[in-house]
Amino acid sequence: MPVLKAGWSSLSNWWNNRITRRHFVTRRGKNILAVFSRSVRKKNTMNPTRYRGAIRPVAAIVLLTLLPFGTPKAEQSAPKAAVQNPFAGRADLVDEGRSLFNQYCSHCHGPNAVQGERPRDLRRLGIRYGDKAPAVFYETVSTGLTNVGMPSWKGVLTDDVLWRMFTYLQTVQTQP
Amino acid sequence: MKPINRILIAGVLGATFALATSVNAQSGKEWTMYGGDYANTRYSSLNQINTKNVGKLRVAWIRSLGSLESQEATPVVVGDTMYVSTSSGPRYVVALNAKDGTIKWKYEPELPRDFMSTVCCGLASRGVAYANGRVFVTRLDAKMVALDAKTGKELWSTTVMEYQLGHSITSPPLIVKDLVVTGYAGGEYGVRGALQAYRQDTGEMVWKTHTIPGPGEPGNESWKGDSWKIGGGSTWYVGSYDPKLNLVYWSTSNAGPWGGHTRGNDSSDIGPYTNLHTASQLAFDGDTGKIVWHYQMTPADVWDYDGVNEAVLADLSIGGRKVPALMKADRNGFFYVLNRENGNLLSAEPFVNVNWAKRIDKATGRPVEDPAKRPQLKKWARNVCPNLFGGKNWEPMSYSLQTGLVYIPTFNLCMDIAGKEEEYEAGKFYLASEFDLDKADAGGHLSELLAWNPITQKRVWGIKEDLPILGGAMSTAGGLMFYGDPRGILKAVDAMNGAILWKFGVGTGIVQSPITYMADGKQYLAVVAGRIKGPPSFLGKIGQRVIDASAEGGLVVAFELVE
Repeated sequence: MPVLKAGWSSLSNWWNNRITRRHFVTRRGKNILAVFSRSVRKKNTMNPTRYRGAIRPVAAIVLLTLLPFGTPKAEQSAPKAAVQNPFAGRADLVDEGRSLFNQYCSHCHGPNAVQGERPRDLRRLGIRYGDKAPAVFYETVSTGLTNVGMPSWKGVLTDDVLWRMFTYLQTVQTQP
Repeated sequence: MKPINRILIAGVLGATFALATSVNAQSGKEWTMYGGDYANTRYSSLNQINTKNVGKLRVAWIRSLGSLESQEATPVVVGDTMYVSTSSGPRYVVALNAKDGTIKWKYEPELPRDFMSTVCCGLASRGVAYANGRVFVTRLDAKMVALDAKTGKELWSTTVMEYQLGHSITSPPLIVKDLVVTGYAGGEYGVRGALQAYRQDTGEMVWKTHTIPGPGEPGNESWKGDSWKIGGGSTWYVGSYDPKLNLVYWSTSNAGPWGGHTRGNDSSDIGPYTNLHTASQLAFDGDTGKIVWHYQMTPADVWDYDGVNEAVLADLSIGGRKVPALMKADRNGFFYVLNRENGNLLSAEPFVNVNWAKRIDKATGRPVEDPAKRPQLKKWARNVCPNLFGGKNWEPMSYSLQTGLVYIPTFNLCMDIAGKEEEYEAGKFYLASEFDLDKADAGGHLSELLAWNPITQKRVWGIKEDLPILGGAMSTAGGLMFYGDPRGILKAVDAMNGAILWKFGVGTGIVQSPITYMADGKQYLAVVAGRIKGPPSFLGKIGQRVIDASAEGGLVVAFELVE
């Protein structure tokens, strides 16, 4: 059906030219989660913070929040690079972070993060993962890498503790 | 001296030693169990390889084990077959022809993918046990299986404990008559230790004895509140056995968690809270598992002076009479000689630099602590010696029936340590402690292979080393003592004076002692090698040097004399 295909192609080209990106927005009520989309028109790319596109419901998604997995889904799908250390640059937390690190992590990752096995060397998180390092750190410590021996610390270490440790680790990163 | 006289004297001496130590002398042509014999002497009566010809040792064969990480196994040789377990599970158990290293069969256990995350200190398997045509294998997922020794076919399998809760098994079980006895690890995961015995033919459990007494049992009052439930006292290393007394000797790990505020007074004034039976030597009845006697080396342990080191049995001449003795070079730095019939203390002296305790009180058997060296909640104890690797760790010592000396791989390290608040979560690492172990003691060396007289409790000689974590020791009637180092250098030493007579680099670090055996009238020396991976992480920069000293590997190397 060449005609129809051509027709669809023209339509999607028109849409792609018109829209630079689609931004999904969630609105949560007591018992419902609704998903809307905002589109940003190309002519607005000079001012990306200003959305001209109307908010419209993309789909009539109504979820019963009685289902416990309903809400965190939106958080999990957040892009990894967006995870950041809330204590970044807090010099006042470094000593405490080091102490926590030595208590919970040093038996594998070395006292003050010093040890000889490169795959376990947390002084190389920056070299290895760049601006995704906080996200990789957070994900790995929370869920573990159990098939290589890294346990999941979820339920033992709070986010607050985790980020204090990371604040310390940021001060001992090896330079490339 | 005429040769005939020499032979006569050697024969008389040999007979005297054989009579004197009925529990030893099992390790002759074969090497049938982990420690060489039930006494854990790691002494062999073979003398074809001796001080005169040891320089002519050459490689006979090499076998790759097929796994990396810490290779801590002692092979077992029965007939002309060598049984070896590898690291990482074990990933494999192999039966090799002891003459040429060719493979007879291979067993590859089915292991869950996540077993590694509940193993504290390296993916070790220290070997298998053999009895009546069966090979018994313990695993890091806390299972034990029996294999047909001829084919490697699995005969039965049993779950000793649930690995998800922090239990694992790193050491071979002990054969006691028709039973096979195993302990388990987990002192860093809040487990409650026990020893468990199974029928060799069916795998059915016959007895189980907790090392920490439950409510209503004597010793339970030595714990604050409910702390006994998660108090450690694991049984992760190996046992010894005296068939005449029918006593199984097994010792217990540190109390858990390391931070002692959770289970007692958090003070050198221990009061009732000794935390029995952690960091203790125990004697169990071989048939019932009942604890016949106990001796606690480190009451209310807060230093991780894990007490599991092997008990070496020997009949010693002390004060003009023959004493059935049990020797132990404990992590806490003291060398203990106990009467193995009743657990009475005969002597205890420091074999390395010790500053956490001034001495062992002979009347009470208890250490006289220096309170400044006891860490407390949020209070550091600085420069505590030895550090938690101990004066000696699991790497086995050897007692030579020829020289009467004990050869001990020791550490020369200290630490800073403090108690910390921490919540227990089942199956999670649980230390409640912060520590810095990256501290060398004085002397410029990090370890020493020490020759020790257990009767006079005095050092005879030592070989100082620049890296810690030496392999275990083995001694022979050829006047020799063997040990390896983290660079993978295997050394043969004159057992009388410590002169190094031969050495050979196998290419990857050695952590376990070699063995020796006869096949077709020829004496072989064999060593398992594979640089350690887990524990060096504890040691910071010092550990980094151990990691850098050799590549990871997994080998069995056998040697023979070449004219």
